[in-house]
Amino acid sequence: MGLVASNLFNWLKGDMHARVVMVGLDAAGKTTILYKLKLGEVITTIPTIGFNVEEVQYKGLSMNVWDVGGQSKIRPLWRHYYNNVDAVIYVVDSADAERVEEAREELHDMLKDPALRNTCLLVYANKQDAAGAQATAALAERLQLHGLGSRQWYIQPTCALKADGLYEGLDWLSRTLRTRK
Amino acid sequence: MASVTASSIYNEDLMRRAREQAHAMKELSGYTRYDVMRELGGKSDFSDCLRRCYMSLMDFRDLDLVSAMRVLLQRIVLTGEAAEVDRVLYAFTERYHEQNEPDCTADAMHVLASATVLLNSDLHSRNRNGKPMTFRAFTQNLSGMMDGADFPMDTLRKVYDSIRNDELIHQTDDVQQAGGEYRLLTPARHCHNPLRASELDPAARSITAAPKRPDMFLRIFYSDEPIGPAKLTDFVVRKDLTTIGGTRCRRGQRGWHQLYAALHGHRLVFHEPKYQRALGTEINQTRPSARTHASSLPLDVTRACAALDYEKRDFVMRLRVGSGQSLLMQLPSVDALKAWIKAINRVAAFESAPPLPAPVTAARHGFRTPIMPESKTTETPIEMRARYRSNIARTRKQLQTHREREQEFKAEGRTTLEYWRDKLDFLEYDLQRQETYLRLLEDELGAAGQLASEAEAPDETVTFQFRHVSEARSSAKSQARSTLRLHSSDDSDRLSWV
Repeated sequence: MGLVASNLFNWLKGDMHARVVMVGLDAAGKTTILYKLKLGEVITTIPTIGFNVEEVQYKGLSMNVWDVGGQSKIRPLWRHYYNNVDAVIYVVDSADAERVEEAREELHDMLKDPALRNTCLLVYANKQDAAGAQATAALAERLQLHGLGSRQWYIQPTCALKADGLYEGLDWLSRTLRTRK
Repeated sequence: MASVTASSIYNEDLMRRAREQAHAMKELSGYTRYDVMRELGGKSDFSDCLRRCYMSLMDFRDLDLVSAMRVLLQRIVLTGEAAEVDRVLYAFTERYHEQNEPDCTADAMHVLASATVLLNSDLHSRNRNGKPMTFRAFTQNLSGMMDGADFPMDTLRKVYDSIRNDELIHQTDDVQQAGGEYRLLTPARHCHNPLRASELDPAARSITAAPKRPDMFLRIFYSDEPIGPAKLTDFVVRKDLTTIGGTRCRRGQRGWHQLYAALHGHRLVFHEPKYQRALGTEINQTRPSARTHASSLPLDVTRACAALDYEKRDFVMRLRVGSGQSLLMQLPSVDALKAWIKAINRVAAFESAPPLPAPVTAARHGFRTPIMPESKTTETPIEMRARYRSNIARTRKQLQTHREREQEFKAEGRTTLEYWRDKLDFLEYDLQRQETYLRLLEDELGAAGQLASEAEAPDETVTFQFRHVSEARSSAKSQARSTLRLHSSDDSDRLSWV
């Protein structure tokens, strides 16, 4: 009963808490995206030692975004943050044709994790302004997103340095998460 | 040992340079702690070599892992992209392992070191909400990670307690500098925001409240380019037709509002009329109108034209913005109408960046228009002209094949037909828009003499004619449409803007 009441209250308030992890190969633009999403907020001048984590608020959706990365042998450490995750944001460098294959492998490897079974996937096809950037349709093909079965996914072209497309992606995420809850 | 393996892989010259730089970085002569991190975190062979050389200068003998880390953090600021942090940690654990020879491999040590740093972010990050990691979660997360076995409980307990009670922090004697550098990571947007100038004080170290919902009003203040004086101002009456994404405005939102419009750079800002006097050149002194839902429109990928098919009012301009928004704006006179149309199209033609491709998703949806970037283009006018030309040819072809496929879509049912209509609408608009841009670009380039060398240039310059609006309006709607098709010498198919 208490749960029903609290859910109802949250629904009335229109706020929703979601856990989101942001993943991607290095230099795909995760850090830039993370800080652009903070939109002008002055963050403490002395950053915490270690990995980047930010609380991002958007349209009543509050997200804890972790910048997850590193070599394959430390990847199991991120399991802790995969539990109860609602969505995965995957960042790809659209202009780096050579590493798309690597990005695909990493993405599919990660999504095999049972904790991530029911998550939805937002792909940021980043660096769209760079020369030789691939279009979203081609990238969806090369990342084999059509083979993801029933998972909800969305590939959003972005240009993180100019913050183009970032909020459009979050709009989709917020809509999708709301209809699921 | 690390340096021996390094020298066998890399050539002497590289090694020598790396060794010299590593010495300088260790002494922090000419390098800040941020620089050291940046240099060490790189991906190149040289950075790899540098990491090994740098770590070989450090002494971690007879220290436990966390204490060794604290020694390292005296000299570098361990922050940045996850992959960079990981690379530095790996070099660190290699050195630590070599000097202390614990019972596990260097890889296992690396895992423990990463888990320690992660724990530090988890327990102490100021930006994080939610439950902190418990000791149990910490051990569970590391189960089976010491070369297939578990790490000894007392080791983990020591690490956990040490981090919980005493956060890993870096040396802070160059805080000012560190602060300055760190601010580069944060968006440059707020720098031009006069309302928040106080926050730019270098001494400011507190977390400030973020705007929870970025709206159009904030977007002006957060845009990267400074806002200049208004190029064009007028009292206008505005009526919204569609909102962002192209959905039709609701009944209550469709009324006419009297506003004061000002064109600043590539932004169109609407003010409440009463602020007009205060305006002058200082836009920042007043609040843009809160009555309409978008008080500032970015004019990239926008097309303005006279709304000839709208017969209820005079001198009405139709504006369609890249984000899908469209609105009508009534101006006081024909001259004002002409001036506004020209000014808006000119800004759009010269500053629009190429659109991003449309998003793709698993579920079948209606037609999605490409995302229109709000940022300025970096191309030169000549490059833009080439882009528009090739795009126009492509869009024409697309439009033609799309028109031919009408029956095909009709046969498949209503939703596909809707898709067909939306796409047709978009393609037609896109073609018109780009043709307008191309014409304006070529007019100006031609006037500047930049196209003189090209043979076809004279054919391309189209003298645009402005039909008197009221004259056009008096004719029937269909007739008005036909007057939209104006004449250029070579291309009868070209739509002109009136």
